[in-house]
Amino acid sequence: MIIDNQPDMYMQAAGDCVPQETVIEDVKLARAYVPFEIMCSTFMPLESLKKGTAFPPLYNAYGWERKGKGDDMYE
Amino acid sequence: MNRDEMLKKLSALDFYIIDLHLYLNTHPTDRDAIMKHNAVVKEARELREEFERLYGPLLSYNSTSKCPWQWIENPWPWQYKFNFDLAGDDK
Repeated sequence: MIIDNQPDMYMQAAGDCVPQETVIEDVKLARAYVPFEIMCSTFMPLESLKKGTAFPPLYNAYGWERKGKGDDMYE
Repeated sequence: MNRDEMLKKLSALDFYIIDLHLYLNTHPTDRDAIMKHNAVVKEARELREEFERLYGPLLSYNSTSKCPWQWIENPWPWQYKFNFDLAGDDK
């Protein structure tokens, strides 16, 4: 097991951080908009490697882990 | 840290750098992300230099070698035996 140095560096910044854009301006009808991701915190490097992303909001974004990790993720 | 632990940590740091790099391509003014990126690049660079000093080159170019030429020693970095095992290591 590797102990990462400076774990504080990967933790969430002070205050309430929402990891995405919350207001989208100049919206028009019949258009699709994707809110911009904002980095609040990241996984530690080794956890990032195992999960495939450094960004917690992108991990298990479609909920496959709840259905049984590994077995049905490609169905 | 033994050889496998060093290589595992280096792989993790390199992966983290790539992911932050992709994020920064679309968020070029995120100062906190740039600071994290730079700190991890520096840490990975130092770890890579230490690994190569102890165990030989990781790249076919841009790595130094002792004599005799170390690149032709087996196993090569892309071969199974060269690498660590991530299975069962949850942290």
